[in-house]
Amino acid sequence: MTKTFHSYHCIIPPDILRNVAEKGNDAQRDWAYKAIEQSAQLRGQREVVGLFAALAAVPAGGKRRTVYDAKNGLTLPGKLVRGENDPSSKDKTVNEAFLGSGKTYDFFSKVYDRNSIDDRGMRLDSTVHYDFEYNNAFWNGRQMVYGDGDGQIFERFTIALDVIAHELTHGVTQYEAGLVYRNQPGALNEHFSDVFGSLVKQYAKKQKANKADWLIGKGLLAKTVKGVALRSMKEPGTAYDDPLIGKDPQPGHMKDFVKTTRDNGGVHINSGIPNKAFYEAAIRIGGNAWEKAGRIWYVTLRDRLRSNSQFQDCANLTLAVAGELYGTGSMEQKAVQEAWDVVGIKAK
Amino acid sequence: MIVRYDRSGGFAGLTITAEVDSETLSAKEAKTLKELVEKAFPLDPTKKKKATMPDQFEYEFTIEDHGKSRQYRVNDETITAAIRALSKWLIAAAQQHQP
Repeated sequence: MTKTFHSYHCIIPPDILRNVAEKGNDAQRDWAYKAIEQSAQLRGQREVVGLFAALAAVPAGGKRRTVYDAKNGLTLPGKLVRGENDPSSKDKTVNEAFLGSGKTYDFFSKVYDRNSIDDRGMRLDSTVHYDFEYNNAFWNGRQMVYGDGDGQIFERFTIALDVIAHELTHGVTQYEAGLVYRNQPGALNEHFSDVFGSLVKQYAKKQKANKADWLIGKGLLAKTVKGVALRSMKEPGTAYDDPLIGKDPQPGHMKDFVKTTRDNGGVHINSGIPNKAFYEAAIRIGGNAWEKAGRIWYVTLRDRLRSNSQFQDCANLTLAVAGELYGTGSMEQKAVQEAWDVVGIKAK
Repeated sequence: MIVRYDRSGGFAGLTITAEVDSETLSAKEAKTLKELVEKAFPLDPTKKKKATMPDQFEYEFTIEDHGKSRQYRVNDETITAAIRALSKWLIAAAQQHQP
Protein backbone atom coordinates (compact mmCIF):
# COMPACT_ATOMS: atom_id res chain seq x y z
CA MET A 1 0.00 0.00 0.00
CA THR A 2 2.62 2.48 1.03
CA LYS A 3 4.60 1.96 -2.12
CA THR A 4 1.72 2.79 -4.40
CA PHE A 5 0.04 5.58 -2.51
CA HIS A 6 2.28 8.29 -3.95
CA SER A 7 0.79 7.75 -7.37
CA TYR A 8 -2.78 7.74 -6.08
CA HIS A 9 -2.96 10.22 -3.27
CA CYS A 10 -3.88 13.21 -5.38
CA ILE A 11 -6.96 11.66 -6.90
CA ILE A 12 -8.55 9.90 -3.97
CA PRO A 13 -11.60 11.94 -3.01
CA PRO A 14 -11.74 12.93 0.66
CA ASP A 15 -15.03 11.13 1.27
CA ILE A 16 -13.46 7.85 0.20
CA LEU A 17 -10.53 8.46 2.50
CA ARG A 18 -12.94 9.22 5.29
CA ASN A 19 -14.83 6.02 4.56
CA VAL A 20 -11.64 3.99 4.66
CA ALA A 21 -10.68 5.73 7.86
CA GLU A 22 -13.98 4.90 9.47
CA LYS A 23 -14.52 1.38 8.23
CA GLY A 24 -11.09 0.07 7.31
CA ASN A 25 -8.84 -2.10 9.39
CA ASP A 26 -5.83 -0.62 11.17
CA ALA A 27 -3.53 -0.88 8.16
CA GLN A 28 -6.12 0.76 5.91
CA ARG A 29 -6.68 3.51 8.42
CA ASP A 30 -2.97 4.20 8.56
CA TRP A 31 -2.88 4.28 4.78
CA ALA A 32 -5.80 6.70 4.60
CA TYR A 33 -4.13 8.91 7.13
CA LYS A 34 -0.88 8.93 5.19
CA ALA A 35 -2.76 9.85 2.01
CA ILE A 36 -4.55 12.72 3.72
CA GLU A 37 -1.36 13.92 5.27
CA GLN A 38 0.44 13.80 1.95
CA SER A 39 -2.25 15.79 0.22
CA ALA A 40 -2.29 18.19 3.14
CA GLN A 41 1.34 18.94 2.51
CA LEU A 42 0.73 19.42 -1.19
CA ARG A 43 -2.35 21.58 -1.01
CA GLY A 44 -1.59 23.53 2.11
CA GLN A 45 -2.86 22.38 5.46
CA ARG A 46 -5.94 24.54 5.90
CA GLU A 47 -8.22 22.73 3.49
CA VAL A 48 -7.84 19.37 5.12
CA VAL A 49 -7.75 20.24 8.77
CA GLY A 50 -11.38 19.18 9.14
CA LEU A 51 -10.67 15.89 7.49
CA PHE A 52 -7.72 15.34 9.80
CA ALA A 53 -9.88 16.02 12.81
CA ALA A 54 -12.60 13.65 11.61
CA LEU A 55 -10.05 10.95 10.96
CA ALA A 56 -8.19 11.41 14.21
CA ALA A 57 -11.48 11.18 16.10
CA VAL A 58 -12.72 8.01 14.45
CA PRO A 59 -13.73 5.59 17.19
CA ALA A 60 -11.58 2.49 17.14
CA GLY A 61 -11.43 -0.68 19.11
CA GLY A 62 -7.83 -0.46 20.12
CA LYS A 63 -5.02 1.96 20.52
CA ARG A 64 -3.66 3.66 17.44
CA ARG A 65 -0.36 5.44 17.55
CA THR A 66 1.71 7.29 15.01
CA VAL A 67 5.13 8.81 15.44
CA TYR A 68 6.52 11.50 13.16
CA ASP A 69 10.01 12.87 12.77
CA ALA A 70 10.37 16.66 12.39
CA LYS A 71 14.03 16.10 11.47
CA ASN A 72 15.05 19.06 13.63
CA GLY A 73 12.69 21.36 11.75
CA LEU A 74 9.56 23.19 12.88
CA THR A 75 6.95 21.73 10.54
CA LEU A 76 4.34 19.58 12.24
CA PRO A 77 3.63 16.78 12.22
CA GLY A 78 6.71 15.94 10.08
CA LYS A 79 7.51 12.68 8.32
CA LEU A 80 5.57 9.61 9.41
CA VAL A 81 8.10 7.10 10.76
CA ARG A 82 6.09 4.58 12.74
CA GLY A 83 2.44 3.53 12.65
CA GLU A 84 0.58 1.17 14.95
CA ASN A 85 1.47 -1.98 13.05
CA ASP A 86 4.99 -1.05 12.02
CA PRO A 87 8.07 -2.76 13.45
CA SER A 88 10.20 -0.85 15.93
CA SER A 89 12.43 1.87 14.59
CA LYS A 90 16.22 2.06 14.72
CA ASP A 91 15.69 5.42 16.37
CA LYS A 92 15.17 4.92 20.13
CA THR A 93 13.45 8.29 20.42
CA VAL A 94 10.76 7.13 17.99
CA ASN A 95 10.27 3.94 20.00
CA GLU A 96 10.12 5.78 23.30
CA ALA A 97 7.37 8.06 22.01
CA PHE A 98 5.51 5.06 20.59
CA LEU A 99 5.81 2.88 23.69
CA GLY A 100 5.22 5.73 26.12
CA SER A 101 1.99 6.79 24.44
CA GLY A 102 0.96 3.12 24.40
CA LYS A 103 1.57 2.76 28.13
CA THR A 104 -0.42 5.92 28.74
CA TYR A 105 -3.28 4.66 26.55
CA ASP A 106 -3.26 1.33 28.42
CA PHE A 107 -3.32 3.06 31.76
CA PHE A 108 -6.37 5.20 30.97
CA SER A 109 -8.09 2.28 29.27
CA LYS A 110 -7.55 -0.37 31.94
CA VAL A 111 -7.77 1.80 35.04
CA TYR A 112 -10.50 4.28 34.10
CA ASP A 113 -12.06 2.61 31.05
CA ARG A 114 -11.16 5.64 28.93
CA ASN A 115 -10.68 5.16 25.20
CA SER A 116 -7.80 7.52 24.43
CA ILE A 117 -7.49 11.30 24.77
CA ASP A 118 -11.05 12.10 23.73
CA ASP A 119 -12.60 8.83 25.00
CA ARG A 120 -13.57 8.15 21.39
CA GLY A 121 -10.43 6.39 20.27
CA MET A 122 -8.52 9.42 18.99
CA ARG A 123 -5.22 8.40 17.46
CA LEU A 124 -2.18 9.33 19.52
CA ASP A 125 0.18 11.38 17.39
CA SER A 126 3.69 12.27 18.49
CA THR A 127 6.42 14.22 16.75
CA VAL A 128 10.03 13.70 17.82
CA HIS A 129 13.21 15.64 16.95
CA TYR A 130 11.29 18.92 16.88
CA ASP A 131 13.57 21.91 16.28
CA PHE A 132 17.29 21.80 17.05
CA GLU A 133 18.39 21.04 20.62
CA TYR A 134 14.89 22.11 21.68
CA ASN A 135 14.64 22.05 25.46
CA ASN A 136 10.97 21.30 25.68
CA ALA A 137 7.95 19.10 25.00
CA PHE A 138 4.40 20.34 24.51
CA TRP A 139 0.83 19.50 23.51
CA ASN A 140 -0.28 21.70 20.62
CA GLY A 141 -3.99 20.93 20.84
CA ARG A 142 -3.77 17.98 18.44
CA GLN A 143 -0.58 16.09 19.17
CA MET A 144 2.46 15.66 21.39
CA VAL A 145 5.73 17.31 20.37
CA TYR A 146 9.17 16.42 21.76
CA GLY A 147 12.52 18.16 21.54
CA ASP A 148 15.91 16.46 21.72
CA GLY A 149 17.20 18.65 24.55
CA ASP A 150 20.56 20.38 24.29
CA GLY A 151 22.50 17.76 26.27
CA GLN A 152 23.69 20.59 28.58
CA ILE A 153 20.54 21.05 30.64
CA PHE A 154 18.16 18.48 29.23
CA GLU A 155 18.28 15.04 27.73
CA ARG A 156 15.71 14.10 25.09
CA PHE A 157 12.16 14.61 26.35
CA THR A 158 10.94 11.11 25.47
CA ILE A 159 13.39 9.68 28.03
CA ALA A 160 10.84 9.83 30.86
CA LEU A 161 7.48 8.05 30.71
CA ASP A 162 5.90 10.61 33.03
CA VAL A 163 6.75 13.41 30.57
CA ILE A 164 4.95 11.54 27.80
CA ALA A 165 1.94 10.83 30.02
CA HIS A 166 1.99 14.47 31.18
CA GLU A 167 1.70 15.73 27.60
CA LEU A 168 -0.99 13.26 26.69
CA THR A 169 -3.00 14.22 29.77
CA HIS A 170 -3.06 17.81 28.50
CA GLY A 171 -5.10 16.34 25.67
CA VAL A 172 -7.47 14.62 28.10
CA THR A 173 -7.92 17.88 29.99
CA GLN A 174 -8.61 19.73 26.74
CA TYR A 175 -11.44 17.31 25.95
CA GLU A 176 -12.85 17.24 29.49
CA ALA A 177 -12.60 20.16 31.93
CA GLY A 178 -11.02 22.39 29.26
CA LEU A 179 -9.10 24.25 31.95
CA VAL A 180 -7.94 27.64 30.67
CA TYR A 181 -4.15 27.71 30.46
CA ARG A 182 -3.62 30.72 32.71
CA ASN A 183 -3.42 31.49 36.43
CA GLN A 184 -5.13 28.98 38.77
CA PRO A 185 -7.07 27.07 36.08
CA GLY A 186 -3.78 26.81 34.17
CA ALA A 187 -1.95 25.58 37.26
CA LEU A 188 -4.70 22.96 37.70
CA ASN A 189 -4.22 21.98 34.05
CA GLU A 190 -0.54 21.44 34.82
CA HIS A 191 -1.42 19.68 38.06
CA PHE A 192 -3.61 17.06 36.39
CA SER A 193 -0.87 16.39 33.84
CA ASP A 194 1.61 15.83 36.66
CA VAL A 195 -0.85 13.64 38.59
CA PHE A 196 -1.51 11.27 35.70
CA GLY A 197 2.10 11.57 34.50
CA SER A 198 3.21 10.21 37.85
CA LEU A 199 0.40 7.64 38.05
CA VAL A 200 1.21 6.20 34.62
CA LYS A 201 4.79 5.74 35.81
CA GLN A 202 3.68 4.19 39.11
CA TYR A 203 1.25 1.88 37.28
CA ALA A 204 3.98 0.77 34.86
CA LYS A 205 6.32 0.08 37.80
CA LYS A 206 3.54 -1.47 39.91
CA GLN A 207 4.49 0.85 42.77
CA LYS A 208 2.35 1.57 45.78
CA ALA A 209 1.97 5.22 46.82
CA ASN A 210 4.51 4.95 49.62
CA LYS A 211 7.11 3.37 47.33
CA ALA A 212 6.85 5.87 44.46
CA ASP A 213 9.31 8.74 44.06
CA TRP A 214 6.57 11.28 43.14
CA LEU A 215 9.07 13.03 40.88
CA ILE A 216 8.22 14.53 37.50
CA GLY A 217 10.87 14.31 34.80
CA LYS A 218 13.39 12.09 36.54
CA GLY A 219 16.19 11.33 34.10
CA LEU A 220 15.43 14.40 32.02
CA LEU A 221 18.05 16.69 33.54
CA ALA A 222 21.54 16.30 32.11
CA LYS A 223 24.03 14.66 34.44
CA THR A 224 25.90 17.90 35.12
CA VAL A 225 22.77 19.61 36.51
CA LYS A 226 22.31 19.43 40.28
CA GLY A 227 18.85 18.02 40.66
CA VAL A 228 16.83 14.82 40.67
CA ALA A 229 13.96 15.90 38.42
CA LEU A 230 11.90 18.92 37.32
CA ARG A 231 9.27 18.78 40.02
CA SER A 232 8.53 16.89 43.21
CA MET A 233 4.90 16.27 44.12
CA LYS A 234 5.97 15.06 47.54
CA GLU A 235 8.17 18.04 48.36
CA PRO A 236 7.53 20.87 45.89
CA GLY A 237 10.52 23.19 45.60
CA THR A 238 13.17 20.51 46.18
CA ALA A 239 13.60 18.93 42.75
CA TYR A 240 16.69 20.88 41.72
CA ASP A 241 19.08 23.56 42.93
CA ASP A 242 21.70 24.37 40.37
CA PRO A 243 23.97 27.34 39.55
CA LEU A 244 22.89 27.30 35.90
CA ILE A 245 19.14 26.78 36.07
CA GLY A 246 18.47 28.05 39.60
CA LYS A 247 16.30 26.51 42.27
CA ASP A 248 12.98 24.70 41.90
CA PRO A 249 10.46 27.53 42.50
CA GLN A 250 7.40 25.44 43.34
CA PRO A 251 5.41 26.23 46.49
CA GLY A 252 3.69 23.49 48.46
CA HIS A 253 1.32 25.75 50.42
CA MET A 254 -1.13 28.55 49.60
CA LYS A 255 0.81 30.99 51.78
CA ASP A 256 3.64 30.73 49.24
CA PHE A 257 1.45 31.12 46.13
CA VAL A 258 3.50 32.94 43.49
CA LYS A 259 1.98 35.89 41.66
CA THR A 260 3.70 36.43 38.32
CA THR A 261 2.87 37.35 34.74
CA ARG A 262 5.48 34.92 33.43
CA ASP A 263 4.62 31.36 32.48
CA ASN A 264 0.94 32.26 31.92
CA GLY A 265 0.68 33.34 35.53
CA GLY A 266 2.99 30.70 36.97
CA VAL A 267 1.14 27.61 35.79
CA HIS A 268 4.27 25.45 36.23
CA ILE A 269 4.99 27.04 39.60
CA ASN A 270 1.75 27.06 41.54
CA SER A 271 0.83 23.56 40.36
CA GLY A 272 3.07 22.52 43.27
CA ILE A 273 0.22 23.30 45.67
CA PRO A 274 -2.43 20.89 44.28
CA ASN A 275 0.39 18.43 43.45
CA LYS A 276 1.29 18.27 47.13
CA ALA A 277 -2.40 17.86 48.04
CA PHE A 278 -2.73 14.89 45.68
CA TYR A 279 0.37 13.27 47.13
CA GLU A 280 -0.97 13.73 50.67
CA ALA A 281 -4.32 12.21 49.70
CA ALA A 282 -2.68 9.23 48.00
CA ILE A 283 -0.40 8.55 50.97
CA ARG A 284 -3.27 8.75 53.45
CA ILE A 285 -5.47 6.43 51.39
CA GLY A 286 -2.57 4.04 50.80
CA GLY A 287 -2.16 1.20 48.33
CA ASN A 288 -1.95 1.91 44.61
CA ALA A 289 -2.42 5.64 44.11
CA TRP A 290 -4.20 5.19 40.77
CA GLU A 291 -6.99 3.10 42.29
CA LYS A 292 -8.68 5.51 44.70
CA ALA A 293 -6.91 8.88 44.83
CA GLY A 294 -6.39 8.71 41.07
CA ARG A 295 -10.03 7.79 40.48
CA ILE A 296 -11.26 10.70 42.61
CA TRP A 297 -9.09 13.10 40.64
CA TYR A 298 -10.01 11.52 37.30
CA VAL A 299 -13.77 11.77 37.90
CA THR A 300 -13.29 15.35 39.09
CA LEU A 301 -11.43 16.23 35.89
CA ARG A 302 -13.88 14.38 33.66
CA ASP A 303 -17.20 15.41 35.18
CA ARG A 304 -16.90 18.30 37.59
CA LEU A 305 -14.26 20.89 36.86
CA ARG A 306 -15.04 23.78 34.52
CA SER A 307 -12.73 25.82 32.34
CA ASN A 308 -12.27 28.55 34.95
CA SER A 309 -12.14 26.39 38.08
CA GLN A 310 -9.85 27.60 40.86
CA PHE A 311 -7.86 25.63 43.46
CA GLN A 312 -10.71 26.03 45.94
CA ASP A 313 -13.16 24.52 43.41
CA CYS A 314 -10.82 21.59 42.84
CA ALA A 315 -10.58 21.00 46.59
CA ASN A 316 -14.37 21.17 47.03
CA LEU A 317 -15.05 18.93 44.04
CA THR A 318 -12.50 16.24 44.91
CA LEU A 319 -14.00 16.18 48.42
CA ALA A 320 -17.50 15.76 46.98
CA VAL A 321 -16.41 13.08 44.50
CA ALA A 322 -14.58 11.18 47.26
CA GLY A 323 -17.83 11.17 49.23
CA GLU A 324 -19.83 9.96 46.24
CA LEU A 325 -17.39 7.20 45.31
CA TYR A 326 -16.43 5.95 48.77
CA GLY A 327 -19.08 7.30 51.13
CA THR A 328 -19.62 10.46 53.12
CA GLY A 329 -17.28 10.47 56.10
CA SER A 330 -15.31 7.56 54.63
CA MET A 331 -11.60 7.16 55.20
CA GLU A 332 -11.03 8.25 51.59
CA GLN A 333 -13.05 11.44 51.96
CA LYS A 334 -11.29 12.31 55.21
CA ALA A 335 -7.95 11.75 53.47
CA VAL A 336 -8.91 14.24 50.76
CA GLN A 337 -10.02 16.80 53.34
CA GLU A 338 -6.78 16.46 55.29
CA ALA A 339 -4.69 16.55 52.13
CA TRP A 340 -6.07 19.97 51.15
CA ASP A 341 -5.65 21.13 54.77
CA VAL A 342 -1.92 20.41 54.46
CA VAL A 343 -1.59 22.92 51.60
CA GLY A 344 -3.75 25.54 53.28
CA ILE A 345 -7.05 25.00 51.47
CA LYS A 346 -10.20 24.20 53.43
CA ALA A 347 -12.21 21.87 51.21
CA LYS A 348 -15.97 22.20 51.74
CA MET B 1 18.59 50.83 22.10
CA ILE B 2 18.05 48.30 24.87
CA VAL B 3 16.44 44.96 24.05
CA ARG B 4 15.22 42.65 26.81
CA TYR B 5 14.35 39.02 26.19
CA ASP B 6 12.32 36.89 28.57
CA ARG B 7 11.36 33.30 27.87
CA SER B 8 9.15 31.52 30.39
CA GLY B 9 6.95 28.46 30.55
CA GLY B 10 7.73 25.22 28.81
CA PHE B 11 7.41 21.79 30.43
CA ALA B 12 10.13 22.69 32.92
CA GLY B 13 8.89 26.21 33.61
CA LEU B 14 12.43 27.60 33.53
CA THR B 15 12.83 31.31 32.78
CA ILE B 16 15.64 32.60 30.61
CA THR B 17 16.35 36.31 30.32
CA ALA B 18 18.82 38.36 28.33
CA GLU B 19 19.41 42.08 28.01
CA VAL B 20 21.48 43.78 25.36
CA ASP B 21 22.27 47.49 25.27
CA SER B 22 23.51 48.68 21.89
CA GLU B 23 25.77 51.22 23.66
CA THR B 24 27.91 48.34 24.85
CA LEU B 25 28.17 46.83 21.38
CA SER B 26 30.54 47.53 18.52
CA ALA B 27 29.11 49.64 15.69
CA LYS B 28 28.80 46.53 13.55
CA GLU B 29 26.99 44.57 16.25
CA ALA B 30 24.69 47.50 17.00
CA LYS B 31 23.76 47.68 13.31
CA THR B 32 23.03 43.94 13.27
CA LEU B 33 20.81 44.27 16.36
CA LYS B 34 18.87 47.16 14.81
CA GLU B 35 18.30 45.14 11.63
CA LEU B 36 17.24 42.02 13.52
CA VAL B 37 14.76 44.01 15.60
CA GLU B 38 13.32 45.71 12.50
CA LYS B 39 12.86 42.35 10.79
CA ALA B 40 11.43 40.66 13.86
CA PHE B 41 9.00 43.43 14.78
CA PRO B 42 8.19 45.55 11.73
CA LEU B 43 4.86 46.67 13.21
CA ASP B 44 3.70 48.20 16.46
CA PRO B 45 2.63 45.73 19.14
CA THR B 46 -0.97 44.58 19.09
CA LYS B 47 -3.08 43.43 22.00
CA LYS B 48 -4.25 40.37 20.13
CA LYS B 49 -2.58 37.24 21.40
CA LYS B 50 -3.09 33.66 20.41
CA ALA B 51 -3.43 31.38 23.41
CA THR B 52 -0.36 29.44 24.44
CA MET B 53 -0.89 25.69 24.22
CA PRO B 54 0.14 23.58 27.21
CA ASP B 55 3.89 23.59 27.88
CA GLN B 56 4.75 25.88 25.01
CA PHE B 57 7.24 28.66 25.63
CA GLU B 58 6.16 32.26 26.10
CA TYR B 59 8.48 35.00 24.86
CA GLU B 60 8.44 38.65 25.85
CA PHE B 61 10.55 41.29 24.17
CA THR B 62 10.93 44.81 25.49
CA ILE B 63 12.56 47.32 23.19
CA GLU B 64 13.60 50.69 24.54
CA ASP B 65 14.64 53.20 21.95
CA HIS B 66 14.74 57.03 21.99
CA GLY B 67 12.85 57.14 25.27
CA LYS B 68 10.04 54.93 24.02
CA SER B 69 9.32 51.40 25.15
CA ARG B 70 7.55 48.72 23.13
CA GLN B 71 6.64 45.25 24.31
CA TYR B 72 5.92 42.19 22.19
CA ARG B 73 4.64 38.83 23.37
CA VAL B 74 4.72 35.69 21.27
CA ASN B 75 4.59 31.97 21.97
CA ASP B 76 5.61 28.79 20.17
CA GLU B 77 2.45 29.08 18.04
CA THR B 78 3.07 32.62 16.87
CA ILE B 79 6.85 33.03 16.83
CA THR B 80 8.31 33.82 13.40
CA ALA B 81 11.65 32.91 11.87
CA ALA B 82 12.78 36.53 12.23
CA ILE B 83 11.89 36.58 15.94
CA ARG B 84 13.70 33.30 16.42
CA ALA B 85 16.78 34.77 14.73
CA LEU B 86 16.65 37.78 17.05
CA SER B 87 16.26 35.54 20.12
CA LYS B 88 19.25 33.44 19.20
CA TRP B 89 21.38 36.51 18.58
CA LEU B 90 20.33 38.18 21.85
CA ILE B 91 21.18 35.13 23.96
CA ALA B 92 24.57 34.75 22.29
CA ALA B 93 25.31 38.49 22.61
CA ALA B 94 24.21 38.61 26.26
CA GLN B 95 26.45 35.65 27.08
CA GLN B 96 29.38 37.22 25.25
CA HIS B 97 28.99 40.60 26.94
CA GLN B 98 28.45 39.25 30.43
CA PRO B 99 30.32 41.32 33.02
